[in-house]
Amino acid sequence: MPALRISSPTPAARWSVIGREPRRLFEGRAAVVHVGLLAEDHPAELGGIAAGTPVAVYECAPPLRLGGEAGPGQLKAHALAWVGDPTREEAEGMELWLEELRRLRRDSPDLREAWEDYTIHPSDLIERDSASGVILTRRFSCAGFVERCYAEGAGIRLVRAEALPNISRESLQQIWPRPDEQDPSEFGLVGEGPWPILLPAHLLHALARADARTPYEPRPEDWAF
Amino acid sequence: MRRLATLLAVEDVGQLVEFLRPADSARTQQSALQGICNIFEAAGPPADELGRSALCRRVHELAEKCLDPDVVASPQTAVKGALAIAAAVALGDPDLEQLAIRLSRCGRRALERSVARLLTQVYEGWQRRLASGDPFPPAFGRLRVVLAQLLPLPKEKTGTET
Repeated sequence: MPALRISSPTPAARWSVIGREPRRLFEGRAAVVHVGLLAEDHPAELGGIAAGTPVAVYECAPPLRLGGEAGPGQLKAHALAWVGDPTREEAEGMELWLEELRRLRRDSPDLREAWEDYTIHPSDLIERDSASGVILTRRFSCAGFVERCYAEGAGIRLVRAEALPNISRESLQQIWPRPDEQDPSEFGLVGEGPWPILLPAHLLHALARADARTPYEPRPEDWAF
Repeated sequence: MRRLATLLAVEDVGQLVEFLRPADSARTQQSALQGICNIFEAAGPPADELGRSALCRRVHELAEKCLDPDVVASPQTAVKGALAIAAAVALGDPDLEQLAIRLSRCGRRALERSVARLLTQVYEGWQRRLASGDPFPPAFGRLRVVLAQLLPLPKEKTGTET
């Protein structure tokens, strides 16, 4: 079961999925409010990762934090999940995918607002130049960023995107509180909902299975982990 | 340089060879290679003579160097190699098959997936521009051959289009 809530210092390898919990419970359960990819190894000899410790991650906070010259992001680790023993090819694939994204970011317009990297529904978007069709940029939710890195980089589909359960606006606000001034429709939340949305906890449930390399069909209760 | 690549007309694309010199940084070279891909993804398959141009020869040379198993280990070099293959395709490199063999000999599936992603973008761009009944440009045929070699790889959804 390579997915757990961190209760004591735990060793973790680069590319593991790190989850953060909210400050308060929702319906008596702890949602996972954010996920990212661990940017460096935390071996047992160096103490592993303790609950609530900030760790370096690749993430779509927003903004996208992809390491490289801009450095990684930082995320308080409450949950940890990984594909049991990723192959060298899978790890290399994720590294290449991240490098491609860094290049795409370098070639996209310089003055970007952090929220321009973000989408909730769908969890990833490709934006093209309307005249030429050339890809200009990509947008992700935090979960979409991790899911795409595994899918496109490592060739591992963690979740069946066609089988996501619907989530209501009220429930979503508990998981992803947004400032009042943000218009939800900018992130794809058009209308009153519910919407089939990829949630951070879905990825942890996907990795909690013995065969994490086959796509998981999240259940409605999987918003918490 | 990035802006120049977005403004260049197809007939002026040869100017980009100035950004692929050995003294240019890897980042500059990557942007030039991406510029070549973008120009032809938007414009459609190139004229045959471009495959014999100084630009195409330099792109081919860069691809060969990046695909040397001794140097392809770093992700930056691997991404540059993937971009160089895509740019060679976009320029209608007549010796594309040699690059495909070289890529295959690297034995790096992750790199092949990266190349497949880039080539799929060019392929889809060209498909959009070729009307049914149009003659089949040789560059398009070569692209299809290379993609056919790479696409037995699991085909992945690459994101939702806006």
